[in-house]
Amino acid sequence: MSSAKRIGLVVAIIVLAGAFVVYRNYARVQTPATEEPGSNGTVEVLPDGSRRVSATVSFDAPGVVEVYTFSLTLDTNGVIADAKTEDAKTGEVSSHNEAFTKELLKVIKGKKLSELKNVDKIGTSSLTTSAFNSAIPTLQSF
Amino acid sequence: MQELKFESMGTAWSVLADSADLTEEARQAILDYAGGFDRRFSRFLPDSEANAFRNSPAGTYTVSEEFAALLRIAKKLEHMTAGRFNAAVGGLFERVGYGGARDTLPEDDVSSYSLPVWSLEGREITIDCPVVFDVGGFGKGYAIDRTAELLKNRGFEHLLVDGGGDMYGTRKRGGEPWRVAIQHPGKEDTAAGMLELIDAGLAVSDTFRRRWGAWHHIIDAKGKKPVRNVIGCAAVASSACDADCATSLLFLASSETYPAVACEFGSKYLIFQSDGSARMSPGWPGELYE
Repeated sequence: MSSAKRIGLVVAIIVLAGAFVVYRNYARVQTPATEEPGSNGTVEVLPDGSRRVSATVSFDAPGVVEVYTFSLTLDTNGVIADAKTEDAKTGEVSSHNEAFTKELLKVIKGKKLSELKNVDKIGTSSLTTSAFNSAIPTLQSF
Repeated sequence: MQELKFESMGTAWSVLADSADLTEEARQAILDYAGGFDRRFSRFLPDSEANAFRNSPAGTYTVSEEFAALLRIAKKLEHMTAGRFNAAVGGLFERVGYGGARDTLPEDDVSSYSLPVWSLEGREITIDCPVVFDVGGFGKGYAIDRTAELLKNRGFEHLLVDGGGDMYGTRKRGGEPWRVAIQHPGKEDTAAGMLELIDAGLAVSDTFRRRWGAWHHIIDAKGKKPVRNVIGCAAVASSACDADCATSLLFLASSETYPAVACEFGSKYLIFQSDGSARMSPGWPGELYE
C-alpha cells in the first residue's frame, strides 16, 4: 500500500472511531431515560418550607389498571404533617392526616366533682358491683 | 327527664330519656336486651356462649349471629395489636384469679400458660384447644349501642345510655349536648375535665377499679401481664363500641402510634400515663382541668 493510501486509511479509521464515539455519547444524551414501568416520584418544597413527597403508582388489578398518587407532607422538622391518597381516575382523595396529628401533652390537676356545675353524667371506669367481688372469692384470703 | 336504673354486666346502668317518658314496653325491651346480653356473652355465667367451649376439643363449631359479630370485632382488635388483645384471654384471667368456675388456686406464674388460638369464618369458629372467651374490652360498648338503637327505633330522640361509665348520648331536648365529667383515674372525687357529648359514644377505663393482688383487668394477653405504662384512658367516637375499642387499643399500643390507632376508630382520646402526665388528641370535645 502506498503511504498516501495508508495515511488515508488511518484517517478514515480515526474519523470512523471518532464518529462512533460521538454517536454513542450523543445517543446517550438524547435517548430519554427509560421510565420504571408504572411509577415516578417527585418532591416539592411548599411556601412554608415543608416538603411534599409524592409518588404515582400504577398496577394491574383484575380487569383494570389502578393508578394512585400517594403523598406525604413533611414539616421543617421532618415530621409527617399530612398524608393523602388520590385515586388518579376518580380524583377521590382520602386524607390520613388525622393519623399523624400532633398530640398535646398535659398535666392535669383536676377539679373536685362537687365544684362542677351542670354535670349530667360522670364518665368513669365501671363501678364494680357485688358481681366483681364474687368473681374473686379465692383471693380474699390472700 | 326520666331515668331507668338497673344492674347488668357487673355494673350499674342508667338510661336517661329527655322529652318523652319511657314506656313500659321500652323499659322492658331495655331490661330484656341487657339481661339477654349478660346471659349469652358473660364469661361469668356458666351457660353463656363465652363459656360454651371451656371443655371443647380442637375443632370447628357454629356460634350465634350476634356472638359471631362480637368475635369479628375481637379478631380485628387482635390483628391490630398483634395479639396483645385477644378475646381468648378468659382462661388466663381465670388462671390468675379473676372469675369463672375453678377448682385450683390462682397462680401468679403464668409462664407455662399458652393462649388458645382461634379463628372465625362467618359463624364458624375454629379452636385449637378449650377456650373461655371474654368480650369485655368492647362488649359493653356494643351493648350500649344496641340499647340506644332500640330506643331510637321506638322514637326516643333525646337519650343517654350509661353502662357504668361508658355511654352513648344523642342530645338533650333543647338540642344541647349532654355534659359529662371525666373522672380522674384513681381519684374518685376528682374530675380531670368536662366534655360535651352529642350523638357520640364515650368509653372510660382505668386500671384501678378491678384490681387484685399484683393484677388488674387490662392485660397484655401476649405478654401475659397487666398494662403498666397507661393508667387510664377516655375516648369519644361516633359509637360507644368504637370508643370502647379505641380505649382497649390505646392501653396496649405504643405511644407513637396513639394518633393512628385512634384514627382507625374515628376517635379522640385522653390518655393518662403512669408518670402522671396526660396525652390528648387535638379536637378532644371538651376542656381539661390543668
